Amino acid sequence: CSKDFLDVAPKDQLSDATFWKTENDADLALVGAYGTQTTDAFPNFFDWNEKSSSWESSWNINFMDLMTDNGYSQFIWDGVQTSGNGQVNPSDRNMHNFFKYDRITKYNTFLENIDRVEMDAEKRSRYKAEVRFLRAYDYFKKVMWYGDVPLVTASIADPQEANLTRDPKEEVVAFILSELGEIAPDLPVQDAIESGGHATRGAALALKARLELYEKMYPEAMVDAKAVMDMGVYELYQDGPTAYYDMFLSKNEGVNKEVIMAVQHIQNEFPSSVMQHLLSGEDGGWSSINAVQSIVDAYETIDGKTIDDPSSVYDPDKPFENRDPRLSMTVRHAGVEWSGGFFDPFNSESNDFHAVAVGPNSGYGVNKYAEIVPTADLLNGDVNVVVFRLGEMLLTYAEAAIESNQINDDVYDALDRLRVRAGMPVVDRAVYDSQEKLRELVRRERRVELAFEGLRHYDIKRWDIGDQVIPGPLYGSRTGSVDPVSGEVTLDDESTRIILEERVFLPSRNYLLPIPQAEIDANPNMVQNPGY
Amino acid sequence: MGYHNPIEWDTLENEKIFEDPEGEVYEDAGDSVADTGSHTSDSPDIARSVFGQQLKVSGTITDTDGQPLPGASIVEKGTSNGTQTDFDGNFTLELTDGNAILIVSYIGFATQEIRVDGQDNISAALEESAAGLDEVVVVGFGTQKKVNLTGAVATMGSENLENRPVTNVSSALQGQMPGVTVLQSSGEPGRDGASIRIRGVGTMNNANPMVLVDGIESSMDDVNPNDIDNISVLKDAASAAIYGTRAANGVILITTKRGKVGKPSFSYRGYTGVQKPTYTPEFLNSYEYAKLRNEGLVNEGATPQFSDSDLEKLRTGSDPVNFADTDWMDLLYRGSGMVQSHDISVSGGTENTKYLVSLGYFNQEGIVKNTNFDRYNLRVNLDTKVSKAFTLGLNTSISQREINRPNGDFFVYPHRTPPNISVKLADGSWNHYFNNNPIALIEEGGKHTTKDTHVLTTLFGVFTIAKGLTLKGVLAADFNFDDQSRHTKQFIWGDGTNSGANSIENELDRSRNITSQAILNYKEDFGAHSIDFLAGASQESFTRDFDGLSRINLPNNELTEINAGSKEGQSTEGFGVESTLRSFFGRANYSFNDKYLFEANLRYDGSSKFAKSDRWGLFPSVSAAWRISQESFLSEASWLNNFKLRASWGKLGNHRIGDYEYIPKIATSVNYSFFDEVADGVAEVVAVNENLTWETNTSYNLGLDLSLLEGKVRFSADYYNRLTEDILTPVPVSQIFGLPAPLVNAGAMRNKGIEFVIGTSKIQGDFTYDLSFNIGFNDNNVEKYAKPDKSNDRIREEGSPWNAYYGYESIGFFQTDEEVLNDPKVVGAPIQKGDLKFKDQNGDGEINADDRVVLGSDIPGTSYGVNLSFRYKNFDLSMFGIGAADVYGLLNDQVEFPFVNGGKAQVRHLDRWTPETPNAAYPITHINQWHNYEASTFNVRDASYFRLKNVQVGYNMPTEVLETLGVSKLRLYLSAENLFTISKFSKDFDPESPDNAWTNYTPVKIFSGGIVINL
Repeated sequence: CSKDFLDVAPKDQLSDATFWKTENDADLALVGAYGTQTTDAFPNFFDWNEKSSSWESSWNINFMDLMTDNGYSQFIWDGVQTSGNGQVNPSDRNMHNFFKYDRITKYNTFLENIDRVEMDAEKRSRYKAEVRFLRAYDYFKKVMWYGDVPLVTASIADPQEANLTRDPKEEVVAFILSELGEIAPDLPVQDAIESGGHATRGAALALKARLELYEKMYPEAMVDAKAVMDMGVYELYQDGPTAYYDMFLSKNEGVNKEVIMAVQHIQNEFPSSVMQHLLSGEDGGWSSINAVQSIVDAYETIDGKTIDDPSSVYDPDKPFENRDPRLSMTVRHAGVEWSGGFFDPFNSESNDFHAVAVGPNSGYGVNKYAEIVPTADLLNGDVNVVVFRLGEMLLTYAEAAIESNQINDDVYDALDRLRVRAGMPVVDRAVYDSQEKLRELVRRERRVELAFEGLRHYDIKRWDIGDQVIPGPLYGSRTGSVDPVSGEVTLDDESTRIILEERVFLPSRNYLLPIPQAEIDANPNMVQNPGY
Repeated sequence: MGYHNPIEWDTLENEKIFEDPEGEVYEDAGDSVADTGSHTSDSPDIARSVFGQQLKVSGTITDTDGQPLPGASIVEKGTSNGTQTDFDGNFTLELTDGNAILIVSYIGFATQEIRVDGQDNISAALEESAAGLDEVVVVGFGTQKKVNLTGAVATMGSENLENRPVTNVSSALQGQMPGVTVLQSSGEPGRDGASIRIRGVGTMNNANPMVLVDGIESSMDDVNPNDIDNISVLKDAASAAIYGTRAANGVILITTKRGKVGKPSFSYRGYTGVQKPTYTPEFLNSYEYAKLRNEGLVNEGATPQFSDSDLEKLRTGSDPVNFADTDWMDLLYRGSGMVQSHDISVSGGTENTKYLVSLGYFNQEGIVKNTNFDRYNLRVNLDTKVSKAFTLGLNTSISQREINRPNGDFFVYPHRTPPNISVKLADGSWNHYFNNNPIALIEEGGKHTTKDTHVLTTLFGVFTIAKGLTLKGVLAADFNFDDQSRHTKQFIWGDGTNSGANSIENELDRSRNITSQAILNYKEDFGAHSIDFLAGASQESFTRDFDGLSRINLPNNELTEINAGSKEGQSTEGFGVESTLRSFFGRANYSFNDKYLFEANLRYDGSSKFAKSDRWGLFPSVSAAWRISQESFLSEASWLNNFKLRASWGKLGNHRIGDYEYIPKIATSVNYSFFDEVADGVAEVVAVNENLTWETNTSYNLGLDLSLLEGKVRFSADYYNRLTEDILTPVPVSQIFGLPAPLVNAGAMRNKGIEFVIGTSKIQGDFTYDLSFNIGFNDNNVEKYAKPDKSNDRIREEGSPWNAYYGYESIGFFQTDEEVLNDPKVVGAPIQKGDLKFKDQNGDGEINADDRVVLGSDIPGTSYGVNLSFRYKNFDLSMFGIGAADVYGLLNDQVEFPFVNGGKAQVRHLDRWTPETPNAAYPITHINQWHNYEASTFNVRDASYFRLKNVQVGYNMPTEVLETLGVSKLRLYLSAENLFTISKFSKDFDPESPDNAWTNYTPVKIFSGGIVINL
């Protein structure tokens, strides 16, 4: 009697002892591998969130370019500002998420136990491949952000055994690539609509191509990118003149075959907070995500020339006119058609005013993914945030080919497909006729096509251009006025240009994040990254 | 003192046996009753014939409220001739001498001597004894005479609760007892419960004391203050050890009133009053706001927000819609602030059955519109003597608390919304600022309702097996039903936008605690030896079930039930938890001649919260006291009524941790979305420490009690030292482990301190007074904490007080560009002239996290209370003050600095640094800047205060008037609660709630008038 009275057990959680038996257990555990107990509204970006984190968070995509020359994070508590201006330090409570091993532990636990379940063998091998993909993806981010990291492929029973040393980046990269190669055949060939959000063979090869490109394994990157391009299930989304903007809207998710894999969101249950951060005050948003002058200047003019080309149609006083249409579809600058009128960050009576807390401090908002929603849905969005899409594969293929000096029609074709979709002329083969010129082109094309999709930091690092593009004052727009009727923008003189912050960048330090101080404190075997 | 009633009376043995409501039998030596040993050898008959005529005297003995005292003793001085009063307090006594002196006594009351002087009718109103020698205090599973206590027990009687407009019991404890630190940080109707810490913060986890109502663990919030007879606080391990595993943070015993033998007595108590905020920040008007905001923008190199023409419109008020001057605070405090309380009670009883029935109603309308609180209380306490040897009792209390408030952050936004924003647009529609208008929210934003129904019922029986030996059985059920409903309405703002979907969200939280106890008690005197043994067993099972459900998009704002909402987007959640506790306990008391007192307790507890191998814990305590005043060498010192030394040692436990923490679990709801639908997932998300065990608290106490001059002067002092070990704390674990590290029993902290109470009183005559002062000093120190944490402006580290403020030492402002350039400054923060300058503690030329120091704790190191009450004839005046010292408060950046995160500015912010005002109170005005907001001695301030907690003036109708009215007591009074506060903390914010300034509803003052009628 005494025993029974004091023995109680939870009735809303499963017991470790009785789990891993049925196929239903495997289904639940697979979802658990992708999922999280928290909503995604304020996800695992901060390390105080001790709950298990999902395989990827839209924050990690939408905010990442703010630590590069593309953007600016105007709220320090969003966690990116110090990484952008170079002040990030090991005690920063932000940016720790990538170091967390909670996902790795979840994946390892899954892989260790899934064989205990009685289930269909084919389904089991697909489930295993999916989870191994997730593990490879997580290690991909870890090596990108920290360099050498402990490579853990089995769950750790005792906390004291977790004091591991860092394994060389090369070993981790080799592990990721071999995993991806092994699992790809076990994964289905499906677009993101058909897969419903699950990892596919396309996702595995896209990640493999991405990492190979980053590791300068150009022939391999060409092969894998090409395999994805030729898979037959992915197509560029080119429905209408604003296809480039429309492909990120949630209403087109059912028809957009360009997406290879995305973070899935659903209102109420697993919502996205991205609108809250993208929109500015008049629409109830916080303007957390700002574009800056440098990305605005990166877009070509409509005639396919750069703005510093004297023969281009560029007018510094009308900087938003006659530009690559992707500019206005990516950056919400003064005069962009918006909300039935024209966006105006210069009106001091408006909550879009750049100098108010919820106005874009740089004068530039970000339009990719942005659309006006009821204010109640700002933190409760259902838009999926793209992790891999065909566009990136075209650029990966082109860049790998150019770097391999295999310049042929396939290269021009890959770039042209993206340019034409955006409404730009095809590549001027006469101008871009050398490896050097094409390298310049593909890097610019990559920057504008993939702006605010979270990849710019990796590119800066592998091209080793951090000390060229980051340090110094971070500029926003010149101030001015917007005609509410015509939308015409009149800018004040150069002296009114907004300066957001002073950035520093040390190549010896800032290409990697610091290992969190808490980890250094807890683990005597952990060595800090240089410069921190 | 109404809870004990004489059931047996033997003047010859000069000994009284009483039974208290819990059935504990205790004895009273009766030393207040007349001496019986030395009556004359003359026979009464001879005396009568020799010294005068025989006389029969009769009369009524009452208390000062006019309540009859049945069983009071009347003895003719110097004889054994005596009697006792009947149920109505009446007596008749044949005297041996017409000039005799009558000694009238009753336990708990001061004995009176009355000269007969030939009168045949003598009535007396006995005053409650201030001497305290007869005072009986409630202790764990029983009562004890105060003089016989060996541990540290503080008590508070109903007189300290009566007539004060206390809105809840917890705040009524404030300042009453040394070592009991009470912090009340909110005045919101129904949500103003205070936090109580006994002898410091005893653990890094839940440090709340255990609360028992009539012996059953329950909640303090639901008790009607008018039902309380007395409150005991068991402060040291010796007195609390009988409660074992839950007593480590002290035990509060609340005893409710019971019926007394006598004719039915009816009482009505009522008051009504109004509330005012204790502190209100003063904000700038819109013109001053705009000017200062422009200044802040210019200081940051930005464009001013308001043009000259804008400023002119604000100054002249020519465009009150677009350039308004809104006093949001004035609009916030538009509630009536009325408070009223009505209580009726009927009590009485025969020798066989005693009853008390009370009904209470309390209503508080907030100073903010649509905030209100209603509390209904019903109590029935019954005692029935079934047979000579068997007594049965039933306590039942039912309470309902209903709290209404606007749904949302209605309090914080009036403090943040700028004055240039109008409340309404020209057409009368609501304006909004960032999709928010706090006044619209208060007036028609929907309602957040909490309905808390609490039923506590206890059935107990006491069986007297033999003389001195009793067995008591108790069965208690405590049911709590907490319903919450949040109705969010949709606003269509004046500009056509809307605030989002309306919604309804309901939560049902039910808990049940079933307690059963069996207690065997043996109590006997053998000559000079007194023994008292108690042995018991108890078990408790606690369950809690929670369900939450919500729907959105109701067809309109007026519908408030779930069925009206859309199934699309609906959500549900639910969980249930269960915990059990089984205990065996015992106590032994021995005293010799009431001079040497010993007590030992032992408790053995098993808790479901721990794994089998770590489930049971043993908690012992011992204590002893020496009443030096009883020694023969002090028998001549008649001025010395009591002089006692006490010492105690004991161990307590704390099992207040989560349920099931030792059980490895796989969590559900680790969800994701596939195919645009929610997919259910599971994962192991926490690591488990299977060896979790108790926190243990070892403490000792040394005390001294002194009572002089018939109790006119009282003094007590206590020293304590409490060490809590095995506190469940985080330990550093590499993140590579991949799961949140489990808590382990690895922390330790110590509290030590001293407490004093001094009092003096005069209790007889036309002019009486009672003055007392208590003070407690506590020192908290973390002795072991494996995972130091210095984040969020707090420090949690060995060698510091737990969770103290941690930050920089502010040393003025940067005055010149040279200072900005050359003086140590915070790395990474842009600094300009007029910003705060921090001290470079380690002299390394830069200000970084290493330059932070401990700035003080928000738990007072010193807290005190002073109680002054005077009575002249029918008038009385009492004043009660409380205070704290050695305490610090931090006003957060949004409160302390202007414009932070879209906020506005206060009048005090005008006193800011400019080149012309280098010694201003505030730094240069910024719109957003991080450096100045860091915790430092600039914003962590001394929050010491003295507060006049209550002042009361009363008038008691004289007896002559009462007789014509046919009532036994009628009292009228005026009372002011929280009348004023002296503090240098801030003139705008309450020093008791700095951390919550303007996120929590302000504490309030209450001015009230009341009436007490006894029939």
